[in-house]
Amino acid sequence: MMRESFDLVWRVLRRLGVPAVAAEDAAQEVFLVAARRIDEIAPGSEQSYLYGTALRVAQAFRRRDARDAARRAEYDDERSPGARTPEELLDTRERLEILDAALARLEDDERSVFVLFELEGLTLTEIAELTGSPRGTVASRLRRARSRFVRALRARKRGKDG
Amino acid sequence: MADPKRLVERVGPGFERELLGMREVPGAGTRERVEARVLEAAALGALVGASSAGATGKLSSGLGLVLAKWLGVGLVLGTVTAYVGSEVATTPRPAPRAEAPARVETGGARASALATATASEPAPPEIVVEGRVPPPASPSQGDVRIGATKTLMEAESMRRIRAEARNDRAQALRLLDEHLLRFPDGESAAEARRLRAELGKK
Repeated sequence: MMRESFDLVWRVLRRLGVPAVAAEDAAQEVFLVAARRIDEIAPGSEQSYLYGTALRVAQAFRRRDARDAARRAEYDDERSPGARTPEELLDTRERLEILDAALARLEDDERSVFVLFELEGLTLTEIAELTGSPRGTVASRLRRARSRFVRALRARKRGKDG
Repeated sequence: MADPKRLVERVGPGFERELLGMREVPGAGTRERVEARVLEAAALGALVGASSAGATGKLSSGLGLVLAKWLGVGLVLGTVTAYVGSEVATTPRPAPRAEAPARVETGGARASALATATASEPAPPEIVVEGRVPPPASPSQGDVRIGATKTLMEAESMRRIRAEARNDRAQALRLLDEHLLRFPDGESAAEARRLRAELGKK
């Protein structure tokens, strides 16, 4: 389960606002929960279980996010976004920062829906089941999240152009 | 009701699409580190659970404590008698192994506490009375931990097999053979044999 889903869990945690320095610990927490409940996870529902756990863990991490910025920056330098040359690395890191900055403008519940729907490709029904919210609520959160996300990107573009 | 189109399909090629299509990956070795720690923490958790249920749990009751005290007194008296009445050789146990502090923050607190306790508590001297056959050794913490890790691996292996049994019978049969080789006497061995027989019939 970990081999198949580790990258996915790690990525979701990151996009849900868990800093790189804490992503490893957060992922560990997700898989520890899964390990303890392994007998309760129905075959075929592993990924949705992990998504649900990652949502809760990310929320907890955001709440107690009191790590020092220097350590975070140092660790962030070690992450490997898949780029090869220093220019590519810089470019990719810059884009990730832009993406995270736009996501940071969203409310927590909007962010969860946006990340799962837009970045991870889950359906609204799946997200409704994971979050325990009605599908209509999830849809309206997605609308608000999109609107804020696009506004954040446009504001950044205006700031850059101006 | 159909889902709305995803933003990545709606925006034209360009910056937004690239941004939405990005997939950050963890650094090299991250998964392996986490996997090792999860196995360790799960095993320690099982160890603590076993200790709590087996010893501490029973002794936590008032009656248990009283019994333990009397047993302790009896043990001391018995030891003194044995010391006086026969040849006694005391061999100090090797210093307790200093375990690395578990990097588990949640769910590992119990494990962490156990690790600290193991390192700081001095081990009582082992008493060997010459000429007597020592009682069979109880499983050490290391044995229990290895056992717990094995149980976890067995459960994970079985979970994969159940998932495969629904999709790919041949693959499930292969995994079942491997499983039975690795865990011939495991808790899930009976289930694995039954499943193998069922899949073999189809």
